[in-house]
Amino acid sequence: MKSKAARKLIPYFYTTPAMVVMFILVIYPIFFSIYISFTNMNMYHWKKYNLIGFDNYIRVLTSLDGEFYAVVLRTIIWTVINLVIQVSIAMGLALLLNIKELKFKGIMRTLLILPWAVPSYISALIWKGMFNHDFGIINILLSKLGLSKIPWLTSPVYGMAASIIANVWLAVPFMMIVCLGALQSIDHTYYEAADIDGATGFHKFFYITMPLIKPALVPAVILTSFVTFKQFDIIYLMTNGLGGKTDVVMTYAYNKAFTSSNYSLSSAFSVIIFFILLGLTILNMRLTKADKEV
Amino acid sequence: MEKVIYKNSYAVKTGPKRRTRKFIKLSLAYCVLAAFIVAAILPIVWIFTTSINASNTLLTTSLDIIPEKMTLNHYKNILFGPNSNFFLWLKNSIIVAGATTGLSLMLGTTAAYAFSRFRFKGRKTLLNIFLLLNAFPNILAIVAYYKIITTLNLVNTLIGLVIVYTGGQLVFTIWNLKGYFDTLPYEIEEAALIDGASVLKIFTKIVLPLSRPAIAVTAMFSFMAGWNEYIFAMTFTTNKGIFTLPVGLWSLQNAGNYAQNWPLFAAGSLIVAVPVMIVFLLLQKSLISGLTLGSTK
Repeated sequence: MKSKAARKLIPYFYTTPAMVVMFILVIYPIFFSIYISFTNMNMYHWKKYNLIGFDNYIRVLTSLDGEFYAVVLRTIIWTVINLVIQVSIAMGLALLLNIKELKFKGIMRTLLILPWAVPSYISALIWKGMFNHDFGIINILLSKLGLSKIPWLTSPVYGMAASIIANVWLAVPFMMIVCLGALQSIDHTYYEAADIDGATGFHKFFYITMPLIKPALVPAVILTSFVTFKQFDIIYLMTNGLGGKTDVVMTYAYNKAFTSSNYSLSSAFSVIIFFILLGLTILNMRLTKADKEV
Repeated sequence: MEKVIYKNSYAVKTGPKRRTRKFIKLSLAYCVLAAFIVAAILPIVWIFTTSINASNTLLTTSLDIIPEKMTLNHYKNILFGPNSNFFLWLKNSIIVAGATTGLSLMLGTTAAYAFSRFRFKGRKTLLNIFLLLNAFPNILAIVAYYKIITTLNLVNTLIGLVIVYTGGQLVFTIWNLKGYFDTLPYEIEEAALIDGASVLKIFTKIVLPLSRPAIAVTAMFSFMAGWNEYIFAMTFTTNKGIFTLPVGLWSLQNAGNYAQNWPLFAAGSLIVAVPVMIVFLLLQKSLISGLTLGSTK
């Protein structure tokens, strides 16, 4: 058998290749982004760029017509609206699918989760087509109903509405599956006991169902809020940010870099968002860990 | 009238009244579910209709699911048309997704094993770093990646994409496989160790064969990630010959000329999406448990 010292080295032998690659391909670019955010890298200074201190951060936080705050606020509102609609629809569908006497449950469930199975960039592009002003099915439907066509993809308000519809379509299946799984794990005797006591459906939902599915629902909601906050595909592919008017944080960072070629400014913005996400992630880890210890 | 019946019905839960109530409730449930099912599959049905519609999409305002004049020409054109690069894009996508999967599995499996079975200095720190990196969307570092790829002269190459994707998938692979290795009972390996087997032998002869399903699912995820990625791909490639399928489809849809390109996009996106959807439905269980594993604990 090998010596003790040699055995101690084994894990490093196994992990080093992956760790080296991870440091070069993942961690180095993060630090490089931070470095770029302190330079003047842009279209004119792509090869020769210099350190300029906090200028980019000052510009992001104090000028640009408050775009930073508008985009962050919009992203938060976007996240909240999406979550409220998603959770309500998902919960409703899960409750319906959980009715004992219901037939064809399997096939209905499969059809309902189909949106989840479509690659999200394809979904976004399909929705973009459906919301097309002249040829999209949505406006065709509206005009058949005698209503006027809506500029879905060119007006900021309708652009956000269209994006929310597409995103809800995309995201409901995951939440529905989580709700359904949680509902199915509830013991039936609780409801039977409640029935004997003469509880209404309303009471049963708020005093039995909700408390019992909360442990499964809360982490899923947190996970989804992160995903929604970081959403890129829908907004970018459908509206392309409309020059900052429908941008959320991710698309804003991307467009600042690759539409206006302001690489260092985009990096400064990204670094700020990165730290916001980092803070929220650590907070979430702390809270869930505290939960586990109890 | 009916409202009155409802109000008192839970007090008189017997006989035909209760049955009628049940019936109404069930029918309502079916109606609502049917409405949402229509909403869920409408975009997919619509893209299918577009892909087989022979008449000019610009002029039809019909809402028929089955178009009056059907054709498979759009499929023929996207696959074999004179301007079609479909098979080139397919080849590029397979190369990029395949190489990403191979590299991240090769590096990730061994590392995941060490993180699961050994306690060594730096382990905890690294695991915490993984957790944070998992939350980090690498689009936020896209400028840095772009600069690195440009400096290395890898713009418009598939290698450039593989480099970026492997970084993204590596963390996921390690995390996912470590979770699986943790569930394998250590006793078998212990017995082998006592019999004098080396760690390498235990890893290759016992752990890897036992983990085949988990490795397959992880590989599938990595492959899908590369297969579906378009943000880095569209940013780092400008040459049509280097496009992956997502970028190709996106360019079709983005090129204007809605009448000509939209049916092509519809046909192409179905060709790309249907295999993904089948894999998804087959892997449903592991996908769902994988996604909720960390969260429901």
